[in-house]
Amino acid sequence: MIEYSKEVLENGLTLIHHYDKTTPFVVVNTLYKVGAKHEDENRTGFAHLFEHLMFSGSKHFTNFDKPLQEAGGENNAFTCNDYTNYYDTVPSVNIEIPMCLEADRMVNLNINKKSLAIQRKVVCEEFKENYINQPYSNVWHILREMVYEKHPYKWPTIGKELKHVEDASLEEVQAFYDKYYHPNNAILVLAGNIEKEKASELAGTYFGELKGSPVEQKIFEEPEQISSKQKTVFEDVPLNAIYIAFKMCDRLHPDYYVADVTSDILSDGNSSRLHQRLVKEEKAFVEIDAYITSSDEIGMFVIEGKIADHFDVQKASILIWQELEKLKNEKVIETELQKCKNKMLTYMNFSEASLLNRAVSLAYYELLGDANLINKEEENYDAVNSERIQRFAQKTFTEEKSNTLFYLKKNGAM
Amino acid sequence: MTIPKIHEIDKISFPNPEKISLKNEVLLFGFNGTKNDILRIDIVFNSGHWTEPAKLIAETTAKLFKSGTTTLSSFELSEQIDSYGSTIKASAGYNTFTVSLYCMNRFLEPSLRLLTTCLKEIIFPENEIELLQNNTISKLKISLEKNDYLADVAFKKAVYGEMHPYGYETTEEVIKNISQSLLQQFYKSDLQPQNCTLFIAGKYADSELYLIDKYLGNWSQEPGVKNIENKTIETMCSQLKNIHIKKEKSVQASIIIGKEFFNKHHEDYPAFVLLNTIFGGYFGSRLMSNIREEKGLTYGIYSSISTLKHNGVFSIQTDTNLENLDVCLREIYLETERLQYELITPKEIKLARNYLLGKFLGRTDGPFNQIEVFKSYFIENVAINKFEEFVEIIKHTDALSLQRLAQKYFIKDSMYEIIVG
Repeated sequence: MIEYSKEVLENGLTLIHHYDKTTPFVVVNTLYKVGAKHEDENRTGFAHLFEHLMFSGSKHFTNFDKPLQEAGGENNAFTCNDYTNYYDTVPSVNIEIPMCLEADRMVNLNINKKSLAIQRKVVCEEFKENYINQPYSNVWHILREMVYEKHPYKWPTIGKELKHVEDASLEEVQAFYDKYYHPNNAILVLAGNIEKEKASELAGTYFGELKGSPVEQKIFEEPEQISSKQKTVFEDVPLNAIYIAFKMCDRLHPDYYVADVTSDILSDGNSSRLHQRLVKEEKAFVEIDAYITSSDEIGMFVIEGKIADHFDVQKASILIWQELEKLKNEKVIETELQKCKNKMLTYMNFSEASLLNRAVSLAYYELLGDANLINKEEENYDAVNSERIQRFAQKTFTEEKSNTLFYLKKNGAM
Repeated sequence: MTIPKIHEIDKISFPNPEKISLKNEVLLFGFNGTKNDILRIDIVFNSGHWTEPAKLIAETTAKLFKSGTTTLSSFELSEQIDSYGSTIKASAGYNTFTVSLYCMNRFLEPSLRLLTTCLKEIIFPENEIELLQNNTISKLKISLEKNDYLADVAFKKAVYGEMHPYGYETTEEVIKNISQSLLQQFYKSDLQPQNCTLFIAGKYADSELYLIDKYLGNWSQEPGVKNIENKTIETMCSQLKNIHIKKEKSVQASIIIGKEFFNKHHEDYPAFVLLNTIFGGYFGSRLMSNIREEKGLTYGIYSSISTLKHNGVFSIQTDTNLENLDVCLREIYLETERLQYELITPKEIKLARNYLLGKFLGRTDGPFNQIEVFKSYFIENVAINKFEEFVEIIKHTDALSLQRLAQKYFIKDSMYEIIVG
């Protein structure tokens, strides 16, 4: 159980407080409800580029990092398709330092030509380092584009192409900031060694006066898939690989938990089905994994594997399908299900030991609609049963709803 | 609006662990106090690359740590462990072999029973070895396509030599040489109670300690197995300082610059940690400010000192666009020279020092952080009270001593320069 309290400031900023007096630290976590899905299809990568620019200094503080570091703190941020999250950890005596810095950059960011020029280059290097210069690194560009027809999930947060980032202009970046960075579009979590009254008071002092502004809520649509899609690419890679992806429900749908447990039955741990049958018994794959993307809206259920040398690619694909058919035709037995639930529970218990994890999660669940969802997770996973898994499998794993990517080595035969 | 007053961190104290001797005289150190009822147990053996009978044997033993007993197949063993939601994993370090258990307390007893089985009864079946060999060779092919992997391999080989336990490279040939008898030999000689120490963290009471003693305290030394001797192994570093590996179709080059270094036992260690922080150890460092934030040449650049039981290593690592390679190298060396010729301002020292003190404070925060620090000091044979001593030295290191350290250690000719791209 993670205890917290919530209040909404007059300007619309949501404040969540979580008290832990056992730590000498406080985490200030600011989540903005803007991610890659809010970008224009011809100008992608902006939310992430923007995350870099948030460290360029603001009206009252020319440098963001230095005061925080001088206060014994650390900070970083990440961008995903749905939101952008900034977090600062400082010794609790210095709580006011991140508060004033975060408040100032929420409305007074100093976006300038120089920092834009530099961060464009930095992000281009990041793009090359992680999405070009590594084997299999362009998979997500291909797969997202295949799976989603209309939804902006069809591009990754780094951006569709380098050029979009290279061409980003000062006006566009400024417009992005003006549109999305407002107190009423943010969730502030204060977690750690700070009492509730103090948290509330400091939030009022630093954030209370900032002006809110209406933010347009976009609704994204995605048609139901009616026929199977297949694609084959040839690249300079040492092993053939296969990716099979299906669209699935959104994050708040009860089936989300069913999907998560199903992916664990398939591939979590050495005793999981795909590992046992396809890696160890059939020796068809060198490694194989099944997982879900935890996106707010229509997610993906993905099975990916690196195929063993000399093993036939089509045959490898058939083997995966046999395992999916088994989920549709036979009920999962109770012990197998309980095993996955126990593993999930252990994972959640260990993850909660970290103050930062608790702070980030509280912000995330509040974004989903209610921070208290964090305390309902165990119940939600526990409600998964074999009937629901079977129904989910029957509904999701069908030929016509599948997207298959064969990622093959050059000069290799299918 | 001005920045509020910054409070300096004045005192950082590292808590003493609970120290218990099990029935078989195995020592246990514990940090108690998480909110949830969970426990992590690390059994650390004086072992690893340093004592293995042939290359890669320690790592392979770790990977096959649940490969089956005479009565349980690998699948059955894994399934039983998984059924409690517990994780048992083994890992091989340069000077250690660690077996870890993560579990919820209500499943501690069956988890300990299975852990003991893994410690005493694994038989390394031939078919498991063969499958692992094939898959490791396949995965190696993927690693060999990565510039940062190749740079790391070349760097370690240059610093320590390819026969040294810290420096050897994994090759197809090395993988093929793994055999059942070598694995059994290592398992039998190294994974013995007299050769290990226990570290636990999480939430525990007498009932948990009782169970640990019941299972691990009744574990007795195999008759006739001698204790591991601490042998000396010399490094055989490369004469060639500049190694450039060409890689077709790269868009970026991976760079590692560095050398063999001292460990925590050296008197210069704490002050050098501060110097390294200023040079390339955090986001506000000279390397990061100049090469990323001023020039946009890279996504990230860091320098680090990592300490091992017998020595340490200092290195600078980054990736950059091929056309910027020369500028990037020039700027890295320029930054090492600036530290040798110009005194660092008190303001910059204060910034890095405070940041570093925050990091040290973080290492005392909660049982899981505490156990990590305590374990690493223990493995490197450094008394834990050194932790607080290091903090004091870092607080009082001045510009002049930092300059002297830079002059002593940042000599370009002493560094290896590895470029892959």
